[in-house]
Amino acid sequence: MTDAIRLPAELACADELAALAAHDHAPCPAGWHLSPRAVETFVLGSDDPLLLERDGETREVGITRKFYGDDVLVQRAIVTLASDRGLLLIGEPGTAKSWLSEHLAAAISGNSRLTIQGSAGLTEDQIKYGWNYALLLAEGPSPRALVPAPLYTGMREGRVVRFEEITRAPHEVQDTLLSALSDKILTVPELAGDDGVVLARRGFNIIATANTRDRGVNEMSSALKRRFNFETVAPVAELDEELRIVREQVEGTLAEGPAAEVELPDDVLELLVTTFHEVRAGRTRDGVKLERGGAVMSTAEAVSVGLDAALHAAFFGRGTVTAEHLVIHLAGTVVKDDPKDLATLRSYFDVAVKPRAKKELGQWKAFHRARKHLKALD
Amino acid sequence: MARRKKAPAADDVTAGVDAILADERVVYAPVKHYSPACAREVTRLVEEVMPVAVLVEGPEDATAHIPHIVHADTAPPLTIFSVYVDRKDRFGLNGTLSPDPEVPARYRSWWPMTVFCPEYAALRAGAEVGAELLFVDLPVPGRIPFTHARTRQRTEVVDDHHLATSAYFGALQRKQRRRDFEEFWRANFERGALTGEAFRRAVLTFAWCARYAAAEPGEPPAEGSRLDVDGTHVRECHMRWHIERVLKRYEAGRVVVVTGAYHSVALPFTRGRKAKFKLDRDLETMLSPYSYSALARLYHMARTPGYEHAIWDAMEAAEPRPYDSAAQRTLVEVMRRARERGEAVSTADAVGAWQAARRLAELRRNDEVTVHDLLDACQMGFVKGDRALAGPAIVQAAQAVLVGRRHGYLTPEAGVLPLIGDFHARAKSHRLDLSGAQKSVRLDLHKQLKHRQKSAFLHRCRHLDIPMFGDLDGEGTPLKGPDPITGEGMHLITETWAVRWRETVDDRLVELAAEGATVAEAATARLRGALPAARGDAAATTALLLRCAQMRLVDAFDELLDAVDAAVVDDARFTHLVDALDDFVLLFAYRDAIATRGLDRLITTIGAVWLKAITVLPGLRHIDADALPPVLERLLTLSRIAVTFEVAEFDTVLLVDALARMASDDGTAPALRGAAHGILHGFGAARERQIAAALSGYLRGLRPTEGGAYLDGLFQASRSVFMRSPRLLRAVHEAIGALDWETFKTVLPDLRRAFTRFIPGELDRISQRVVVQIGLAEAPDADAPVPPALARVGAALDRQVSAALDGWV
Repeated sequence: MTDAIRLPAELACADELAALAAHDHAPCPAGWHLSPRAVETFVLGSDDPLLLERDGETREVGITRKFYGDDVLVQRAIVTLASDRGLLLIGEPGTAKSWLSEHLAAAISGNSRLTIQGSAGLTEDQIKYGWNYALLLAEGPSPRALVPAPLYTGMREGRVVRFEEITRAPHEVQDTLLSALSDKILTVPELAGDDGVVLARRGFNIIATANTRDRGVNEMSSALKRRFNFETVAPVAELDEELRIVREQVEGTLAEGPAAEVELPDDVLELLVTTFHEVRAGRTRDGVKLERGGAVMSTAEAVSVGLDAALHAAFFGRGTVTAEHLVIHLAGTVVKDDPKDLATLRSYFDVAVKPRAKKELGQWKAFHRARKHLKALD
Repeated sequence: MARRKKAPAADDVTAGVDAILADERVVYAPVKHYSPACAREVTRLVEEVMPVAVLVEGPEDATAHIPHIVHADTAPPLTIFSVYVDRKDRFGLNGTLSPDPEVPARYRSWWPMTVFCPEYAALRAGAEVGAELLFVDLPVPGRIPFTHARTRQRTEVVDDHHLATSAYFGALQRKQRRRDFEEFWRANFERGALTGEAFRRAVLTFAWCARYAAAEPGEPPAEGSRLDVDGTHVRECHMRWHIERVLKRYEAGRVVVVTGAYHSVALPFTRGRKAKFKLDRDLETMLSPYSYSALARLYHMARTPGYEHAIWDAMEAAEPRPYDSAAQRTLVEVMRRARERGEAVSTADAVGAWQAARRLAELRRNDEVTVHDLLDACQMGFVKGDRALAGPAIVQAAQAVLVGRRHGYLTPEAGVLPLIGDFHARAKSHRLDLSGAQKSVRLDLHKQLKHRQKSAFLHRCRHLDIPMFGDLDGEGTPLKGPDPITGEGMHLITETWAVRWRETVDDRLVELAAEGATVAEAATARLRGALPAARGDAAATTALLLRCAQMRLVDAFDELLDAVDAAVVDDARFTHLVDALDDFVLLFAYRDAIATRGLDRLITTIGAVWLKAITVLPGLRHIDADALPPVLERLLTLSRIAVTFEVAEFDTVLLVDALARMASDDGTAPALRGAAHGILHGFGAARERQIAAALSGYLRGLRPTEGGAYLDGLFQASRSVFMRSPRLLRAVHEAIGALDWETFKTVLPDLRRAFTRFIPGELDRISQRVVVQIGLAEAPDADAPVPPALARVGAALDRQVSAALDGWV
C-alpha cells in the first residue's frame, strides 16, 4: 500500500481514528465505529492531541482539521447519518463534498471505499449486485455466484455507502436507492428464502454528492428527494483558510515525490488563492466589481494549479514556484470549454492585477508581467 | 451600610465572585437581558431574600412608571421609551442628527420589557414582597454623550454587547464551536438544571472573565479606557450611588440589585458618584404597550421572543424540562404554519425533526434542545430538496412562530401615549374598521367635507408609514384616486382606499411618538424634516406644499409657501420652475378637495414662478443636446399653462417676447427654435412665411442636418401649423427635394422622428397632399387600378431604393 498514489481516509488517518476510538466514551449509535462527537472531532479537528498506545508505545496524535467551512453543516450531516434519512451534499464543483463524504464514511464505518460513481452509463448491478456468470451458468443463482456491489455490502455489513455525483446517473437508476432508504431492504429475487432478502444492518446509510453545475438535484424524483437531507456545501469563505487548505493539499500531495523539495513561497501562494477567491466572488478585496465567468474557481482547482506549478518548478525551473509558473498553468486549469473563461481571466488581470502591479505590491508585478502566457492561448 | 469592597485581583476569579456573593446587604443578580433563565432566577431570589428594595437597571426617570409596569392589569410586552428633543443644541448635533441645524435632534432610547425579561420579573416579584422599586441607570440626557453622540445614532437600544464582544467569550465560542453569543448563552446558561446560587455563580464567573480576562496571555485586561468612552464607568458610578442611597435609607434589610452581568461584577467595587446631567422638560419618558414583532426588529438579542415566551410558560408550569417542552410546542406550531403555507409537512416529518433536534443538542453538549438545534432540525426534517429553493418557506414559518404575535396591554391608569390616543380617537371618529380585515373606503372629495377630512387623515397616516393599508390590485397599491403630486388619476372623482389594520400599527405609533402628540403634528414634523433637503429647489418645495395641502396640514402651509418663494428666488433651473408651476396648476384644479389657505398669496407665488420661468427662458438657447428633451417638454408645458390657467391671468406678452427672441436667433438649438416658432404661431406671433424661411434656411443652407431637429421641435409644439399651411408643406417638400442624396440620408432619421409626432389620420392627409404636390391630379383611389403615372413614379423610386440599398444588405 505504501506506493499507492493516494490512501483512503481510513488508512491515511488510521492513527487519528484509533486514538479517537480509544478515548471515545460518548454514546455511539448502533453500527457506528465512533460516537457522533468523535466523528465531529475527526472532521473538524481538535487543539488537544490524544494519547495513542500502540505496539507498547504511547504517543501523542493530533487530530487535524479535515473540513474547513461551516461547522454546523458538519454537525447536521452527522446527525442526519444517525437518522433514517440519507445525506445529500450539493454544491459547486471542488467544494470538498467528496472529501467530506469520504471522511464521514471513514469515521462512521471505518471504510470509505463502498463507493458508487454516478455516470450516464451507471447500471443497477453496479449499485446493488451482479453475477459471476460462469458460476451462474454452472450452478444457477446462488449466494456464491452473486457479486455484491457497494449498496449490497453496505446494507449487509451496516456501513455507510457513498454515491458520488448521483445526479449524473439516469433517474431510473437513482431510484434504485428508494427501497434501501425507506424500507432498508434489498431484495434479490433470483435467490430463494432468506438469501433473497438483505435487511440493512444498523449503521447503514447513504451519503450522496451532486454538483450544481451538472444536472440539478431538482430533476431527482421527489420520492428520492424526500429520503435525503440536503446540505449545501459553500466555497471556502475566508482567504486565510483557503490559503491553508491549498498549502496543505499541495504539500501533502507532493510529499515523498520527486517534487517534495519544491519551495512554494507564501506570497506566490497568496497570488494564486487571491485570484481564485476574487474571481469566484466577482469582486476584489478592494470592492472592485469583476466580470464573472462560468469557470469553476474552486479550492480544488486552486490546488490543481498549485500542484502543476510546483511540478513545473521542480522539473523545468529552479525548484521555487514563481508567479510565472502560476500563470502558465492557470489558464489550462481554469479555462475548460468556454472561451469566455479566458476573457474573464484576462479581465481580472486588467482590473485587479494591473493596479496592484503598478503599486509594486509584492509578487503582483511579476504576476502581471506573466500575463503574456494567457495571450499565447489564442 | 455595606461598604464598598476592595476589588480582588483581576485574575483571582474565585475570590472576586466569592466577594460579590458574600455581600451581606446587597444581593447582586447578574442577568442577560431577555433571558428566561435569569428571569426565573431573579424571581426566586427576590422571593427568597424578601428585600426592602429592588434596584433595576433602567432609566431612573422611569421609576414613576413602575406602578403601572407591575400593575395587575398590565400585560407585557411593553416598552419604556425616552425621547430628548435638543432644542438648545446642547449636544452640538443638530444638523448632523437632524435634517437641518434649525431642526432639533431627537434622541431616543428604548427599554422593551417582556414576561421573560429579568428586569420585569424582578419588579413584579419585588412588588409582590412589598419592596421599594427603583430604576437606577442614567436617563437619556446622561447617556447621550456616550451613546447617541458617540455612535452618531438617534436611537439607542439596550444590549449585552460587552459580554458578546469580549475576548473571553471569543475564545469560548471557538472552543465550543458556537455560532454567536446567543447560541453560547443558551447552551451554557439556559438550562433547567442550573439554578440558585450555582446559576448566579456561573453567570458571575463568566462575566468576571469576560470583563477582566486579557485578550491574550500577558496582555492587560480588557477593562480599560473603552469603558470610559462608552459611558460604562459613569453609569456604574451612578448606579452605585443609587445603591448607597438606598442602603442609607434602610438601616436593615437586604437590597437586590438587578443589572447586566457585566455591571454586576464591577458594582460592588465601584465608588458611588452621581452623574452630571440636566433634566428639563425637553425630556419625555413614557410607557407604552409593545409587540414581539417590534421587539424582534429592534433588539438583535431578542430575535425570538415567541420562543422565549414558550420557555417562560413551561417554567411557570413547573415542567421538568422547560426548554425541551418549548421546543416541542414550537416545532408542532412550525409544522402547522408550514402546512398553512402549502408545504407538505407530515407528522412523521415532525417526529424526525424532533429526533434530529435531540441528537443535535446531544452532539453540541446542550442539556436541552436550544432554538439553534430546533431551527437546524426544522430544516433537516421539513425541507425536502435543495434548501436554497425549498427552505425559505420553512424558515419563514419558523421565524413567524419564533417571533410570535403577542401584543402588550397597559393598565388604563397609565394613560396612553398622546399620539396613540389621537390616532385611535380619529380612527374611531372616521369610522375606520380596525378589526384586521381589509376594508375598502370610498371618498367623494368634491362633495363631502367629512370625506375630505377622512382622506386627509389617511394621507397623513400613509405619509407616516403607519402600516394600516391593504392592497387594491394585488400589487400593493393601497389607493386609487386623483393624485396631484404625481399627476396621475386626475380624471377620477373619488378616492378608494384599502384599509387593513395590523398589529404593528401601535408599534409604529410608538416609534413616531417623538415626532408629535397628534397624527397631524407628526405628519407636519415629517414634512418639515424634508424641507432642508428641498431648499433652493422650486419643484421639490412645491411638491412638499402639494403634499401638505393633500394632508390638509393648514398650519404648515404658510411655512412651505415661504420656502417655495425663497426657492423661486434661488432656483434658476427652467425645468424646476415649470414643474413647480405645473404643480400649482394641479393644486388649483384640485382646490375644492384639498386645503389651500391664503389663496391670494398663492396666486402671488404662482405669478413669481411664472415670471422667473420666463426670465430664464432665453438663457436656454444654446443648451446641450442631452439636456434638450426635458427643456422642450417643459417649454410646451409652460405654453399650455399660459393659455389654460386662467386664475393667475399670466401676461402672455412676456412669454411671446422671450420666445420671439429665441426664434429669431440663428444660434438657438434647432429643436428649441422649431418649438418656439410653433408656440408663437399658436399665439399668432409667427407667420407661416417666417417658419418656411427658417426651415429652408436649415435645409438649403449650411446646416441641412439640423432641419430635421427644427421640424421635430415645430411639430411637437404645433402640428396644426403644418396641417393647415400648404405653404409650409410646399416649403418642406421643395427643400427636401433639393437635398442631395447623401445629405438626405443624413437628415432622414430626424425627419422620420419629426413625422412620428403626427397621428395616423394626419399622416394620411399629409400623404394625399404630397401626392398632389408631386404632380398627380388627385389623390388615388385605394381600390382603383394603379394609374400608369403613379406606377412609373413607384418603379423609379423602387430602382432608387434598390440602388441605395445595394451593398447595405
